[in-house]
Amino acid sequence: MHKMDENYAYLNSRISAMKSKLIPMISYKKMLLMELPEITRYISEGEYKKDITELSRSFRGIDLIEYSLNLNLARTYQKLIDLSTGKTHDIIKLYMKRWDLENIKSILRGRLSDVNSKEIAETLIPVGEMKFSYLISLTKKDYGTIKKELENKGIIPSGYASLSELESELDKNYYAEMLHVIKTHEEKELEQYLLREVDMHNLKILLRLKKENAPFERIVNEIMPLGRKVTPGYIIKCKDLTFEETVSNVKKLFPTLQFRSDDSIAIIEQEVDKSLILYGEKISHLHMFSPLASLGFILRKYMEILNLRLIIRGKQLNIPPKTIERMLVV
Amino acid sequence: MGGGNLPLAEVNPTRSELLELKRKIEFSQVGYDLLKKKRDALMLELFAAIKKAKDAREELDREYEIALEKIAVAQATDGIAKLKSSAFARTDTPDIIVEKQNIMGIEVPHISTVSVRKKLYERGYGIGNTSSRIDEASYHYEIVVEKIIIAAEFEAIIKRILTEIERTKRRVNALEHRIIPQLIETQQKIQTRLNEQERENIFVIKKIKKCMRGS
Repeated sequence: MHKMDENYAYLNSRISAMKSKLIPMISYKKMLLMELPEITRYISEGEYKKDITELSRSFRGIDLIEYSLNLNLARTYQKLIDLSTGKTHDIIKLYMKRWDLENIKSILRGRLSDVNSKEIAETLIPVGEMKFSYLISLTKKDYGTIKKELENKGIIPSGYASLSELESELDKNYYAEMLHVIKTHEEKELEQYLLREVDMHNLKILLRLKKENAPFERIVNEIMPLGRKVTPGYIIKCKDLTFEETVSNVKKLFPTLQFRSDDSIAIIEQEVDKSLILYGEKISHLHMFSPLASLGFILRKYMEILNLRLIIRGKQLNIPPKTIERMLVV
Repeated sequence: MGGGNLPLAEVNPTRSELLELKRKIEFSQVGYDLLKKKRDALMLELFAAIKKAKDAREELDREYEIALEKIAVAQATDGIAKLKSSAFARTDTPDIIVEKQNIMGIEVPHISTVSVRKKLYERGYGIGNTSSRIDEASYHYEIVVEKIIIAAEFEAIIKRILTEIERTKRRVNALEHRIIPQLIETQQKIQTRLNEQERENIFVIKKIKKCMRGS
């Protein structure tokens, strides 16, 4: 843990500068009215120019834009890690660890299916603590070697034969560690945010598995035992409910979520994700001299990437503008 | 039927050969009638298979359209990296069982599958870091794979029936235009030769009788 003093004044002013470079919310609606070439030109002339130029030798078209968005996200988050000190630094680093875990999951999945190194590398988003070169070196090893190496380093838990169980355990361990650190630092609002994130995570799992008519034991195994509202106790209450009854029940539990009982699970899931980002953005303004300001920026940047990707892919794949607009996080 | 189209030089113009030829002609005509009936029945089977293949194709196209739409939404919301990563998790390949079935004596494949459609928690990826959009795209692509297999079965059946129709048509044509006419021609020639021989014999007998009377 860093012993350096907090540098909130400096960090917040840098965050403000970075925030000012983010695409304003109003621009998303304008982009929906533009043609795809206009949108790509708009993106490539702005903050993403450097990333697009760098990746232009490896990718073409919309893939180039999407991979550049990911690269820019990684660089921006890395910059934030470098700028922060003290507990903010520790918390941001730990928050970014989720990207490391995503990368590890991609590598393990890819190597288990014998996918080549280049293709796996395209799915990696080097945001976390792990160096990109190390991740690339892992993609060249076989599944057993990678698993053993990561187990020995304590990055993944040992004793899980099934990859999906291992992934589920990784998520549980990650949130437990994150909550522990935040509690240690006595960051109440951040703790609330994280508990809400766990709730939303559990909620999505509950709904997806209910829709699939999964056995009750399977749902209980997948749920994180850390949530505030969607706890194993709540899952037991939902045991005999159908999917539709569960949706109605969830609506009562989270009255602020904007969905109808007859909405598809994809729409409900989107609303859940959207509400979490907007909640994080809202609490980020509560205390300027805390890691919350950084969380606000992290979420805003992530939101920008989500929205841009949604618009360019939506336009490319001829998704109606109305549908894209509903999916935007604004 | 094999010797029916032999040139007359190679056939002995005997009465027994004539009887053998008559038997061959009768046999060829029965074969010709049967093959014609087989050809007609195969045509009916072909039309039925074409209709089924067309329906299977249409269903496949419909499902593919849905799958494309679902994957487009998943790609737009979850991103290409997450989508690819989720696809990596699927390690098993669907088991395809090819059995034989019989249509009008032709062996055609009967293709069935097991393990194409999977439950969400059997797809290999962790549920936590994927989304229902990815689930829906996976589900619809599983249906597409099933429909491709069904369409492939009907298309294989059509190909086999067409090959058989072509073969039967060649046989019918050969019998109709070559083998039976040649057999009839040979029969007629033998008949003519035998008639000639008979006339010659009568003439010789008459000549002998005349000589015997003169002496």
